[in-house]
Amino acid sequence: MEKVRRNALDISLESETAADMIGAGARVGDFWALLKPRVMSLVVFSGFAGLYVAPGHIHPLIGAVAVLCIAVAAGASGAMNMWYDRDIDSVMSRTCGRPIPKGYVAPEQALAFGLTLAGFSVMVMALAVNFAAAALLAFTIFFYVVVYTIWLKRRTPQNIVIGGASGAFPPMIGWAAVTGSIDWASIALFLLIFMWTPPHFWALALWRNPDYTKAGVPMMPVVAGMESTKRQMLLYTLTLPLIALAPVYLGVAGWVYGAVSILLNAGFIYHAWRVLKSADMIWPKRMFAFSLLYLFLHFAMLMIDRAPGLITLFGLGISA
Amino acid sequence: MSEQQNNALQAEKQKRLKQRNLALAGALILFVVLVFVISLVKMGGA
Repeated sequence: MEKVRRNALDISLESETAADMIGAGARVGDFWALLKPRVMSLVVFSGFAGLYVAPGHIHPLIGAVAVLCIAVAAGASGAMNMWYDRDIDSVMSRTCGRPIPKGYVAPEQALAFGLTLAGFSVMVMALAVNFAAAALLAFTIFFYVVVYTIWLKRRTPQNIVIGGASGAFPPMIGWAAVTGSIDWASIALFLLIFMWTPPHFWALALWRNPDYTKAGVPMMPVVAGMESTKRQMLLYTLTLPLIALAPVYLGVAGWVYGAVSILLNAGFIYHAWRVLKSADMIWPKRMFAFSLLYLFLHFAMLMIDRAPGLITLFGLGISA
Repeated sequence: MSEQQNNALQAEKQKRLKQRNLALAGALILFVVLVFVISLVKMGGA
């Protein structure tokens, strides 16, 4: 029988006591889970990378506050996403263990938690860092919650193509925290994540297809079929190298980034090709894992390339 | 619900309430410290 908590309390989910517990019994860990910590970590990393590579100077403490605001805003967006998606989350095996479908946190608590954190993160960003970064942060939260979660997710197979923009904003926010503006180089970092998102999510959607079908979410494999999705994934990965190398043309990154990017893009295209040619779900899973490494290494290399003294350390004398 | 279950439930509720209050207090203290330090940096006193 379904239990209300993962502890010693042996109470049926339908009982009055269970309802009572939901109102007063959420643990701190349940609120932490609402923030989607794993998603938050990648957002924080890309936001920090944008801040690190941006030209100009920012006080280290103000920089840390900017990254904290990005993290809190990402968590707030996650909480509001879980509030809205609680009905489909309870149907899908990947998400049925989340705090709201499990009954650990009441939906209105999650919404209040998300709204409060979103408000605080934008306010602190505006007061401590600058208005450009705060405006971008507010727009990102709006885009993820309203445009992606509420509007697009259940209506179109292009949901994550357009909605992916919300995950692509953090490096721009980090950049704006330093410069107070939006520049071509920050747009290039945005585009890298934006174009990376469809093959990344569709790789997941391929092997989670029954889940999405059951929940009625029109992901590309559900609507257009497996083959069409795989072809589109390959097209995106073929387009990505031009965008991934843009930071080199724009002078934000040097040859270390460029060389690693070429290798990573070759790997990504190879994975997409194998996904297209295979009927099982092994390659989509591998591609999903590789896509995470792809993005992580791009931003890591971007920072390593800009690290003071790196070029001198290796005695190579070539830099952006 | 038996009295034993009810007691266990009340104890669990109290425990979680205390944990949430402590977390909230920690977050508020962190926020105050953050505002204080940001003010120092902004005023050029750091």
